[in-house]
Amino acid sequence: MERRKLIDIVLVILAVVFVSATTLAAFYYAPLEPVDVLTVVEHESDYTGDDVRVKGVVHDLSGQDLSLWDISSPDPGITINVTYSGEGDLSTLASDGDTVYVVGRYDPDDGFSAKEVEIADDPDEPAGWTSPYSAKIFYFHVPAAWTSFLAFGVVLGCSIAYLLKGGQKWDIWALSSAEVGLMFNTVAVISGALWAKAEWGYYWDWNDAKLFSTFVLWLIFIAYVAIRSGAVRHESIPRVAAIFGVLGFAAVPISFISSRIWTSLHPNVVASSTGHLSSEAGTVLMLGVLAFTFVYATLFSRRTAIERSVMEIQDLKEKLEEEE
Amino acid sequence: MTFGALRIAQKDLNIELRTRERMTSMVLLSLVIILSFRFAFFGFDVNLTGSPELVAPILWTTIFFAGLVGLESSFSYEKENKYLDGLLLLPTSRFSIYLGKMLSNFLFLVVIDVMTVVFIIAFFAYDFGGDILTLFLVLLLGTFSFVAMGTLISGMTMSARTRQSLLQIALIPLIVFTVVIPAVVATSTVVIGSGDLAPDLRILGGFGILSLLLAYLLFGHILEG
Repeated sequence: MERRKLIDIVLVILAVVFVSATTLAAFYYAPLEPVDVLTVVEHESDYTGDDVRVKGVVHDLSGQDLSLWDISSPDPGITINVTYSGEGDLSTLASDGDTVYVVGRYDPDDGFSAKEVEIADDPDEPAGWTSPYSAKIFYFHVPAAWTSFLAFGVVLGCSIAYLLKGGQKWDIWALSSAEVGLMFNTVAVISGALWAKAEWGYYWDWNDAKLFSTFVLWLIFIAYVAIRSGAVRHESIPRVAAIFGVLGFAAVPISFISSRIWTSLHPNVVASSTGHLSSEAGTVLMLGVLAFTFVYATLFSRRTAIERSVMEIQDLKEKLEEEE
Repeated sequence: MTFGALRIAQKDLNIELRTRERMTSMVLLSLVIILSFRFAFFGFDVNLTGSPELVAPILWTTIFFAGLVGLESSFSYEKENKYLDGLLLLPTSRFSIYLGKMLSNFLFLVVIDVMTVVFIIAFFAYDFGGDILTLFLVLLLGTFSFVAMGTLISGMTMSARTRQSLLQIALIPLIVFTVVIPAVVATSTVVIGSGDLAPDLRILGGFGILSLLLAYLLFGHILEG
């Protein structure tokens, strides 16, 4: 009993420390990706190859410290080459003195290789993301989504263990993990919707495979919790819930791969060929994942304790009734 | 195994022929849903011939909800009348019980499919024309896929106090991608007459078979205890 309390305290401390660290890092350390700002000083307009080379000067955003925006960028003021391989002809898009926004990857030897280049209407407003500060939500949205997948994975594991071996422990773990995972999934859906409003201009798009499949995943675990709570305490309910946990987990991989195989506006930053994440952003993301995992562990531990008490009270009640 | 399943399906059909309880409620529900659509569109003067993209959503919404009522009573009938123990004592596998129930649910729902199409023709004056045979192919496959997963979930939720709502809450998320969308898209393809049917039919058939496989693995666990 004492050991459990100690573990709980340690978990709470870890969760608080890591969430605070993630918040600080996301706002003060993580770069705003994938925005890089260039001012074109010369361009080769008669260039007729597939790639258009534009020379630009890295532009300081109205007094912003550029190293804060993207640490992987070169220092302000130096001239770099941009190789553009996106749609359209960059030489007609940009002319001398224009400020262009480049979405791409910087390499000290090759310069930028860019897929998207945009001319700025307002040089103070970066264009890679419509709303680069809102993109900070990435460091909370992605860890929340991952933690919900982890939690649902625990539901799957415990459900299978319950079906194969039985035992109240597995049942309590599965239930607790499902509820906590549902909370994280809700956080992921809401934070995603908030970001979408800032970036895309609308909260939700039903035709987007990623959004739709994640919503279905959310519904499935709502149903899982409903099966647990809507039922009378019946011997078969844990077994039924375990089976549903196994069935429902199928939606997790679907939700994860949906934006990679179907049409979706949802960015694929991690584990995809189009993703590019600077090491700083990756570090903050990993910090976020750790932080949310600790939050998960804390809530999971508390939830299982509550459920154990519930079981204990019910057993005592039954004993009392028998004695009477 | 299959013989046992056939006998269970036959038993359900016999009961239905004598009482007509489930069919009556399902057909009436289908009628009421179609009429609700008819009246909900009252002010818009909706003309399905002019906007055939509405046919598939109306058709499948009706079938799914009428079907949910059928699925719900499939096991609760046995449970309420304490016949479930009798079923369990039969010298057949647990999977056969599932198969038999699935078969009877499927047959009931096929009747609902036909009746819903008839109601749409009657109340929306919609002419399916030469598409009607292809339409029934899509309806049969969609119904099979729906019933295959639905019978499994119906068996799972039968002991719950709130089983009516629980069946819907549990079943619908599982079939949104796998049955609802492909069935509606395939039906729209047939009705509008352009597009490729094969991918959606493949999803419907594949999910139906997957559901059978899952039932084979899991249905024994459901009936235990």
